[in-house]
Amino acid sequence: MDLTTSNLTAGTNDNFVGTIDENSYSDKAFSLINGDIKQWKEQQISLENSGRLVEKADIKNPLPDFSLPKFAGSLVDYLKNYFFDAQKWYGQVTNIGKETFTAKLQDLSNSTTDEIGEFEIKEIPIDDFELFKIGATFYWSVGYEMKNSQISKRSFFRFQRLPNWDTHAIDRASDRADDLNSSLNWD
Amino acid sequence: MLEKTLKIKSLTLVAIGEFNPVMYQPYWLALKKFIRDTDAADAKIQVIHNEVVKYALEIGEIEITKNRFSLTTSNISHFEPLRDLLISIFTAIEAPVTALGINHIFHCAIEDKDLYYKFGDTLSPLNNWKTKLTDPRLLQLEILENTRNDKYSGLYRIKIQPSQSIPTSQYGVSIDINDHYNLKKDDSICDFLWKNWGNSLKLAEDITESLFEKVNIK
Repeated sequence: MDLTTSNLTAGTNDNFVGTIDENSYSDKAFSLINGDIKQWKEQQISLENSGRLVEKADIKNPLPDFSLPKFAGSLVDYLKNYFFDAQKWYGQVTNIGKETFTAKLQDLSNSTTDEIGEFEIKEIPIDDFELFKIGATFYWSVGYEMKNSQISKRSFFRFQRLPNWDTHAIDRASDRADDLNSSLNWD
Repeated sequence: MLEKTLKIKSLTLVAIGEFNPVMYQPYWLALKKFIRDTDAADAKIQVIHNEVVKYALEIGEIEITKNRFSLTTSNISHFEPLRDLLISIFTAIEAPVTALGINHIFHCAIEDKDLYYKFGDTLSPLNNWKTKLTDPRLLQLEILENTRNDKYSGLYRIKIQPSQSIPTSQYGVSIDINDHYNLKKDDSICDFLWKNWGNSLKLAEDITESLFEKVNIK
């Protein structure tokens, strides 16, 4: 099994590929849980020195590791719980009534013209209620969920949580304008 | 075509840089209103340590080391909320990030044994190996393109291998598409993710779809 160790050697930037058996992952996870990072690092150095880990050929352009997390296994075994045959919408609240609200819906699965949908206010998750106002945006999806080997129809409703990054955007635009201004030759 | 074979779609967002893992605990995310309070309360924590933090929220799994920050989900309804979470976090903190990876993984079910063999044989003609081998099979294929086809620095890396994650099929393949961006010092990971989100999703689907078209699997 190939193993890129850059996600394991915390604090280093090595890019090594080598072969380690599955037991090593368990050992690694166990040592992490016990906080024994130092011991694990020493083991890695020992492995490198013993030639079990082979440095990648392309040293000038080492590839960062973007592979899935491997070392401690998956906590919820996410590939056993998944959502499929789903249709997704991005909504924006346009009108709030006494028991219902309407929203403009953009189909994220198939880009078509926007639709208008009506929802019951009681469908809003309690924790999202603070975000509920005209103009608020949300994600809504319906599909089938596989969970613990059981397939069921499921609907997800979640208000969008994004920081107010207008300030950042304005700052960045302002910085770019300054840079541009200083680079212009006004002669 | 892809709709018929695709069974599980998962997403992993990865940032490479310098991070202080212990800072990104569920209650901090809730305090900042990046996730719901109940999400934080229900978080399944595996490791909270100075060097590594790992836990699962309803919208995905989070794993942070000193140089790697990743968010993963196989629930496609949570793709956008996960993207928003990463943007929220990196808007709130000014961590130096040198690279962004948008990993798309498609687990597809192939109908039968013959098509399964044909899939591997088309991608890597197995006749090339039959001089000394009797029944060679493709186990794993990795393709790398070191330059991107847009204006950004980065690469594409595609890995194809058998998938055992589809409970209803014994002929599953996973196609892992890594859409990788190198960031310069002043680049904002939030801008990159926001601007390239749609293109990245489409690119991954197009690549996967074209693979199945080549093999003529419908």
